Amino acid sequence: MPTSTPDALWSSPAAGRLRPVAVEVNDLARRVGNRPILDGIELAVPVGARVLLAGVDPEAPSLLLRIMAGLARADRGTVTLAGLQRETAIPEGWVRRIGFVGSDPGIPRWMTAAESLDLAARLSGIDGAERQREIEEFLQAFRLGAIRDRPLQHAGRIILERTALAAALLPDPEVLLLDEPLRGQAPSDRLRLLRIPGERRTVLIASRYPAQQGGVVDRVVLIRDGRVALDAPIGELDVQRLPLSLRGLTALADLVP
Amino acid sequence: MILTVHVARQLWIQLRLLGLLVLPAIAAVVAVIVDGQFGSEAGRLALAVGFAAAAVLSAALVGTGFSEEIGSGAAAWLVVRAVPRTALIRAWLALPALAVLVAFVLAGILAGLALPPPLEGAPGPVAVAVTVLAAAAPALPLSAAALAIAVDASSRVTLVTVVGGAAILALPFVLLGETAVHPASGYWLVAGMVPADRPITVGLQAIGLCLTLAALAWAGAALRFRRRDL
Repeated sequence: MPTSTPDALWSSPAAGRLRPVAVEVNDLARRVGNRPILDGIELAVPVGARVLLAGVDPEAPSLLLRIMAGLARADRGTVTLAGLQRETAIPEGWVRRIGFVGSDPGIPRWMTAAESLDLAARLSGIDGAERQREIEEFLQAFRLGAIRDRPLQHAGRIILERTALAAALLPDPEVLLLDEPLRGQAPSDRLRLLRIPGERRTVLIASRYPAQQGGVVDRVVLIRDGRVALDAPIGELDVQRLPLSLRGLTALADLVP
Repeated sequence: MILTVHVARQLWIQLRLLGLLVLPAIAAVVAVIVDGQFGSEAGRLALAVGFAAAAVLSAALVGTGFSEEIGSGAAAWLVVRAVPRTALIRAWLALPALAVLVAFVLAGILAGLALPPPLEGAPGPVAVAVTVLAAAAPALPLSAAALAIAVDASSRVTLVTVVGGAAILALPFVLLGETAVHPASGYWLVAGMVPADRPITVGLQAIGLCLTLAALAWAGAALRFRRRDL
């Protein structure tokens, strides 16, 4: 999979010292019915981080990602992704820098894998020979070549999920938002696919099953009572000898000031 | 343009576009059969009723299609690719509206050729054109209203609401009849129930009313869609 910015630049000591922020959330709130699911979320994720978002209320991380992606509205607060705010961003700029994959792949089922990648590329402003080259590359990388021209309604969830991830990565986004992704994949395939290349790419994964994200994330965020109760490197769990689970994250949140 | 082609393909593959194109033609064919069996007055009445039914079913096709687009997550898939919500719902009205217009014009020509002219003497080409457009026009506000319903409803609820709602809304227009100009006056023109010296005036007023209602209903649909979680 191509990455347009050399990873070496982002892994340089200078970039490390500057700690550029890829995701910034300020005072974000959203009520669903009478429940305040998000109630003043403050979050700053550095460029290149791989973050697990977990929640005592399992709805909270998913809602946060969907607000970030522009699929749900916030009652108050702001979200800045890769320096862009959804309301003011130019569509082409947004789609080339932000990717989202939901728990439901959402791709129109009457399309083929090749057509869905083609539409994703066109909507991202990727034209001509570059579009064809990238589509072929992604079809091969995600093992979709054999069913490339078959409508997705005849394919299983595994293919749909892989196609959705490929379509999200095709514009080479700087920030990738994954809401309960790849649940239909075998654990080994899931891990392989979620180890998304690109050191400068920031990945946020919302999951109800934190243990499944082991080996994929380097940072954990726990949302409790609508707020960020924990934002720590995953190594903190090892230091405190806690498991990567909701219980472990809750215990760590109680330990870390 | 990318979005327009995408919505057109979706409508075509789901056979909705075919439905939009053939419904008025079916109404015209039924009217010709009724005309042959029961006379021209019954034939024209059958054409008016058939066109009204075609408009309602067309709106139901549009509404259920949009509801499925939202329910399946396909709308969300487009929105995360920075497709403006307003552009998406606009495409869902504009494309079917174009298809309905073409279908009604063709069906109107078919019926015009097959059925004898209403009242005394043949109407001029302008009167015929206005009559056909006035008969097609109610499909627009109905489709826009169907989109507004579909924003928050399942396709089944949308179908029932559109068809049931249209039947209830039709009652006052049936009671008003040809004595007043209303959005459904085009059907009275088709049925030949408007005096021969007034079809253009009545038709244009009905078209204007339909366009106004369509704009209001579409604006409501767009506002609801902008606020909806996908």
